[in-house]
Amino acid sequence: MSSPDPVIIVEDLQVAFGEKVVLDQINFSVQPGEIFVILGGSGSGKTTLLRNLVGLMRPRSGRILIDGKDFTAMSSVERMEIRRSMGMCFQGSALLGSLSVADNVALPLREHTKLEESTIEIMTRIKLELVGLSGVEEYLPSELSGGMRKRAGIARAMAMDPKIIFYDEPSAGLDPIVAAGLDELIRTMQSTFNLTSVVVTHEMESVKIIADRVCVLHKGRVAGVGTLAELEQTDHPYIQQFFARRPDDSDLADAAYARSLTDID
Amino acid sequence: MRIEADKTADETIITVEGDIDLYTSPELRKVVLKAVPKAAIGVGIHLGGITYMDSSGVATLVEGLRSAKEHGKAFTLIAPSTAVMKVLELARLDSIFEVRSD
Repeated sequence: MSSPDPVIIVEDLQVAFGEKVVLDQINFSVQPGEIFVILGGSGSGKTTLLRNLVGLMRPRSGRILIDGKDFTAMSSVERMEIRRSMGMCFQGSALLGSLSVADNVALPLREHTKLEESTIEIMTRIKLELVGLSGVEEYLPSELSGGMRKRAGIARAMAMDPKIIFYDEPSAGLDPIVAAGLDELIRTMQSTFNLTSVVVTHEMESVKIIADRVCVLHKGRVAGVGTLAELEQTDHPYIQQFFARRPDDSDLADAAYARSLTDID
Repeated sequence: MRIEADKTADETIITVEGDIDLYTSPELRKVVLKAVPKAAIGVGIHLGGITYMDSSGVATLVEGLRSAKEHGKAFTLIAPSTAVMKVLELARLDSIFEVRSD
């Protein structure tokens, strides 16, 4: 049996800020219904890659195909249409502080659909129930804990029943128990709605629980793509180092530092 | 999505096929909320041919149920497909609806 067509295909992507190339030769595809993790250390380019995938930035070259359509070459109207099938869960949740939790979740439905207010109200309550936030509809975001704000962010990302959901560092800054609860929620959302999920993270514990496949980024390039088991078998030094949680070689770092000051090798 | 309404002496059967999503659910809502007050005893929504239903579909069914309660009518889901049941179960709303096989 042939595998289904990928939902996302990234081809030879290059992203630059001015002259500085921050992502180069990026190639991978995401299958429908899988949880695809983009993993990498600080400064590896993973958040920049995510911004390109959701259309918040444009690459210098290469293509991103969403459902077979070139997302990078579309008009803004066409891109907006595709973005309606996407949900984005921002790292800081990005809830509007002046709106209640329910109004935050309802906002995309009020802005982008012609649904009746009574329908929106029920949909909002369903989404909050799904993420375990029943009963806090009228709270302001500032009245929620960090974990609850993340859940509210997921509820809002789910408001339009997206086909693809993107999570930027979902468990960053959370204690291990709350983070584990979020991992479970991401899995439940994926399995129930057959959601294609792209998760940017550097948390190995989360990766072990949620990832179907992983793309490891290092210095703006793909160090490897595969299941966790496959990546554990590779001999790529950075992947080995990342998985083993080993620090950089400090002797080499010291030598580079000395060179930069003295110009002496 | 395809909708067909069939009024019998006791019950109005609304048969829905295809996808119920953000774009199609307003049409279903209109048909359901119009049928409920006019039905003799109640309304049955045949959901055997639904391939996909999102939360706007769930909300539409909840609104139909609310309206039926207000009008003292029955509101039954008939032969809901797996796609329908899965979403109702996740929303923990499967138990609030009366369901029959056919």
